[in-house]
Amino acid sequence: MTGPLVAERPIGAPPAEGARRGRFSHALGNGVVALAIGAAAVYAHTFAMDKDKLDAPLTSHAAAGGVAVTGRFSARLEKVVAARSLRLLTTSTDPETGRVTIKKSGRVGTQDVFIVVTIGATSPGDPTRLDDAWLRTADGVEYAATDRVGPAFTLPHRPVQNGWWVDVVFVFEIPPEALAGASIVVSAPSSNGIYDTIYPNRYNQLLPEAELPISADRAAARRLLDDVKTSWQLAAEE
Amino acid sequence: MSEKHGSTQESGEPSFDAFKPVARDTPSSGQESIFSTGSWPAASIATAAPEPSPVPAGPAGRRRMPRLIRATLLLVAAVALVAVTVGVQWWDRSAWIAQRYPAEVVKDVPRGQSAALHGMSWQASLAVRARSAGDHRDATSLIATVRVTPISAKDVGGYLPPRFEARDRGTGRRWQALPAETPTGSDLEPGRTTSFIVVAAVPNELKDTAELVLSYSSAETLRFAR
Amino acid sequence: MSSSVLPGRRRRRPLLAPAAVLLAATGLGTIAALGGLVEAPPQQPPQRRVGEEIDQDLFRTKIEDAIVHAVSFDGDDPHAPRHTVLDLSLKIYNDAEVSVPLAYLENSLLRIVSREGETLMSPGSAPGAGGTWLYDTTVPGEGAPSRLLPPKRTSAVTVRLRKRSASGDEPGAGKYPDLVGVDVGVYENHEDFLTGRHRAALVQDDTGAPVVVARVTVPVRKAV
Repeated sequence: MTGPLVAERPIGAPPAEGARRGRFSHALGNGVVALAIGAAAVYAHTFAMDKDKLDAPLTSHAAAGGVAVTGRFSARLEKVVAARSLRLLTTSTDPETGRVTIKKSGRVGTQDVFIVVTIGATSPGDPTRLDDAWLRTADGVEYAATDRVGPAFTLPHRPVQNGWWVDVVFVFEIPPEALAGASIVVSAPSSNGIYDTIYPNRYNQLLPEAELPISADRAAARRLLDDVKTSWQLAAEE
Repeated sequence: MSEKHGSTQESGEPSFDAFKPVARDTPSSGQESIFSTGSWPAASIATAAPEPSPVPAGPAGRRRMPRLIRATLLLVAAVALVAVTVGVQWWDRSAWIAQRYPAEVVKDVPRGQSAALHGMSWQASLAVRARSAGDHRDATSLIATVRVTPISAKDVGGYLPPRFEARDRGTGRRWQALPAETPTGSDLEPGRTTSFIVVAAVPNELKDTAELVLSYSSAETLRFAR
Repeated sequence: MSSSVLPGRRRRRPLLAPAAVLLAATGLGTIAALGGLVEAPPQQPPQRRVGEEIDQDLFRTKIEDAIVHAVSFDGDDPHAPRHTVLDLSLKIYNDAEVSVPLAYLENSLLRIVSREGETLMSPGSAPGAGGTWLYDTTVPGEGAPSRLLPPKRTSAVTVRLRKRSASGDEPGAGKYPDLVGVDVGVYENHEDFLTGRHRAALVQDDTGAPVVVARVTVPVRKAV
């Protein structure tokens, strides 16, 4: 629409000085704005997550003693016990009389402290398992559940199913000072079937995990350690 | 300054002055402010458009009216482009998921009857197990007796144990079902029926309605009606 | 370069190119004469002594001791038969933020060889030809051993090596070496090319073989 108006000015004639100055400041302003947008765009890239973070598990948090709900399971902390040593009993029940006899007994000791955690879990849909458990300390260090207690005593592979809560036991061996502010993290395995075996860890992005605080505050953690048992018994049915 | 500059050149060849008022469709140079001059008409677009002057207003009017339409079209095009870009990727991913996780084809087996799958004839009956001391308060164990009969000798060689689960037909919820002992290929003989036990736990309220499902893959699934 | 076109001056002869060629030829000849073009001998991994700390990136490792002694595999039964074994004691600081399975440490002890050149342990290569040595790595503990290294802590690790004779009977301590050499590998935060995620992996050289970051010579005590 400006066509016929601009035609007033013959091509090649110098623009007025004021107009030139106006245009220059205008261009300068545009340049500054463009530079600012560019800088902001470059800065925004520092917020980009790397693949480790993009694929990291989705954590559902719970208040102390509360239920953590993930898409594939719900979990809550049923019981926490601190112990200096564990007594492992293998028992056998007579199907006729119902009498329980001890077949084997063992003892496991530690320089640190054993934290015996009972977790109740249920599933909203398909059956799953709580294969892996860690004790995550306040400063982010993760202790895996100890392998010094056999799976027969803790039943970590017990199916977690819809309609009722099952108890799964995990035992951690940690230095006592790591307990304050720590929480238990449980996660369900990847459910991609055959693809998990073709390329392990390739398809296990965004796995659900539940973070359950062991104690409400430091005082509660200290009470737990003050009440440390000299021996705690874990039984396995033969 | 611009006035002076303009006046010096008024007799000579015409030159452009951005601050000089536009003579054609504005009344006079004296009524113009320096902000409304130059290449931009002083009058607003809305008032300038219906002006009767045929030469400048003609093309300008033709362009100004579609402006709104043009903007709308641009917006529609932008939205459509975004929709297509997202949609194509959505469709591609959906196709990939559909290929990898095909929809389940469940074959219903009426009560007491058998069905053929993987060269075997399958039959199953489900019973509620009496509560025992070790049972969970909210769960009931179901005992399924599965009978398998190989159809031919060739199928015995290719036998693989299937997966079992208990299912609620209404909600589609599932529960793990574990065979107590599965027959291997050497236990099977063509035409001879071998039976084994499958145990599942289901919530108490579903103990009479939950069904046993046998599957090799999502397309090869049998559901035994109760 | 424009000087040659100036009036009153003689045109210069091209000198730079022949001079450069001559210089290069002389230099190359000198290097060749002094043996500079001979292939360098393969670089030996740094030798470390017992008790020196080795940085494996994932772990900080100290090899403390090696002893041949007779042990009973069933601690509860005093009459259980005793077996001669070679125990290598290590102190491992796990620098990761998580517990690490001992298999990571095992795999980083690339090769344990005797002075005679017999391979006692080589987790990377398939067992077979040699195959007369068994190994087991544990963190001994009261009641039951562990196979996990707790995070940000130092653990005492025992690598137990046992000779298996062809006839099946127990070889005596005399058959055990007096000196073993341990090749130690190093970990890196490796990026998986498909997932883009990171995990600890042994650093490899161009041929795909794990890099030996230290070679420790450990004298073996005999306490049988």
